[in-house]
Amino acid sequence: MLGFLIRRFAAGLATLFVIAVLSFCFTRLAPGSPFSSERQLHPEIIKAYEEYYGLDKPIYVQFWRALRGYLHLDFGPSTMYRGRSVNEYIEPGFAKSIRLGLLGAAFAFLIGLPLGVFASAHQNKALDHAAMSVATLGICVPNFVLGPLLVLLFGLTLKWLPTGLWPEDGSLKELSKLILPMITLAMVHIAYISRLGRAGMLDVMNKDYIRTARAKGLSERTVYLKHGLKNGITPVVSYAGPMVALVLTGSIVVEKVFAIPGLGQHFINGALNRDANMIMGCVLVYSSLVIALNFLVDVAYGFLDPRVRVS
Amino acid sequence: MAAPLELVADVQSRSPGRMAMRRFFKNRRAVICIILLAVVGSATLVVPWVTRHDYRESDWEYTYGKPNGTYWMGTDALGRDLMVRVFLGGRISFAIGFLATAVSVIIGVAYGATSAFAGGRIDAVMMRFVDILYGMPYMLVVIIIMSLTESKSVLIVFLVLGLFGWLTISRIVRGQVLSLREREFVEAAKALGVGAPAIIWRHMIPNILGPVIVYTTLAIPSVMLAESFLSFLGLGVSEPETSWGVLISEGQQSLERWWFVTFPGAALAITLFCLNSIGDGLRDAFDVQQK
Repeated sequence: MLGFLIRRFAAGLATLFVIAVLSFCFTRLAPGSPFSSERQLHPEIIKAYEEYYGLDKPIYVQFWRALRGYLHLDFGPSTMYRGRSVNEYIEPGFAKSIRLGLLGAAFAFLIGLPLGVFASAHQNKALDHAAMSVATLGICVPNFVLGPLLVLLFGLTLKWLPTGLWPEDGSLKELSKLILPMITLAMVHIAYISRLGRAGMLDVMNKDYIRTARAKGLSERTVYLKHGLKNGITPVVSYAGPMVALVLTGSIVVEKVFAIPGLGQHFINGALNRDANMIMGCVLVYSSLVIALNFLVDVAYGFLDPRVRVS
Repeated sequence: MAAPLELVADVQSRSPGRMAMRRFFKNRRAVICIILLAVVGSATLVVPWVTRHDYRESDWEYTYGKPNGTYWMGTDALGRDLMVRVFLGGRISFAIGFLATAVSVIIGVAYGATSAFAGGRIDAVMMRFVDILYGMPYMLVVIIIMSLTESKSVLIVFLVLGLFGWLTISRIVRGQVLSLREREFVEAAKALGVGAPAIIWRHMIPNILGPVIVYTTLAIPSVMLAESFLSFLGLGVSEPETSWGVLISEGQQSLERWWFVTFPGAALAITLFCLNSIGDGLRDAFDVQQK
């Protein structure tokens, strides 16, 4: 088990390094500079800017300097917001994004898992078909369509819920701003989780040990929830890995639709304004998050399914 | 009696591929989706061509117009007919979906097959490379590349999406080749003196085709989704070109005009639904294990 963990951890670090090198090269070697797009600046001023941002050095020196900064969680000055550091934007943005992501993921499991289990218990009955139709709808209506439609329906037409922005305090009225973003973010995952849960349960309930459990006279409820559920939800656990990356890209969309100043907004604005340090900062925070969470999923899976540890 | 002979004569030989197609066409949902997709697809080709409204033509008397008898899906901020733009955008969304998938399938098949046939250390290195790329949140890298290219032409969008989508297919092909190589019928062919090209042509390719077809059909909707996602964020297709993602993004910015977002959104959702259903149907028909 320990060897398995060490190997996974090393692979995670290697991936992070590759991402850092790749994105660094992309942002520095691209044609044009962050100072070329606006009104014509005096060459001396551009030179001074380049010196300030360290852009006059060869690229490996730049990378080395940047890497030392990253190891100290210092992402350097922003070129988009002059005179401010990238950290000033990333830290509060990250706090919002991670809360939104956790909320969405939790909601997805809370709704998706029971939905899938109930559907499997009523296979091919009305409840099953209804649940699976919801799941299909969730997969085929992307979040950037679902979000605006939810705002249109519940925000603008029915006026039940606020249409966006981040809550300013902990009051119920402010927190209700999170309901629509949460649903938008979670919908596609509710769909996948319920489908995987249903398929996993149906698969397990045909196993011999379930028949044994029934034969010794356990109630159907115990068989289902105690014997079936434990193995039936392993596909759902393995979905948690890819889900991390999807929640992240999903939150970029949700933040745009609901005007939430999270990490995704800074990343996209940085990308649109060619703010290399902002892009690097967001990419590294995102990637570390994805890699760390995937590592945790691997660990969890190693406990649930001992076969994984060997291969 | 001649009856047993007739019975024998009645049995037609059916290839696995033909049997899979028979199973596929019994799937009612998949067949309906093929028809629906054909309707949407041909509409994107025909509607902008036969319509009375040019996509550049502005009706300044009727900007932000609600859907009516003249403009069935309303008009946009510049008074352009939205229906033409929805179907023109669909044309680009479809083109990117199909072309980028083709690029990634070609790369993936070549890479996976090379890796499997090379074997040994080369195989190990090539697959470790795929593992590392797999661990990367690839959408982030795509966003960076898209933000740095000066021109947001359709060509760049489909190249970038194609160049990043080949990982899964290369794994599938490698796995298939490796397992096929050990199978008895390939061994038998070898023992009979059949050469390598003939084995690849007669035994490998027909057996790999099923999973590749299934994967390709399921990859198209995910590429179309990625394109719309990028365009929605302003990093994909841009004016004067349009796509469903661009139109949805415009609609999201003026939500009080419900027709802005509803029509392109519905077009995208229907297309994704059809492509996913067809892919699922093919997967069941070819009996491919889901990875």
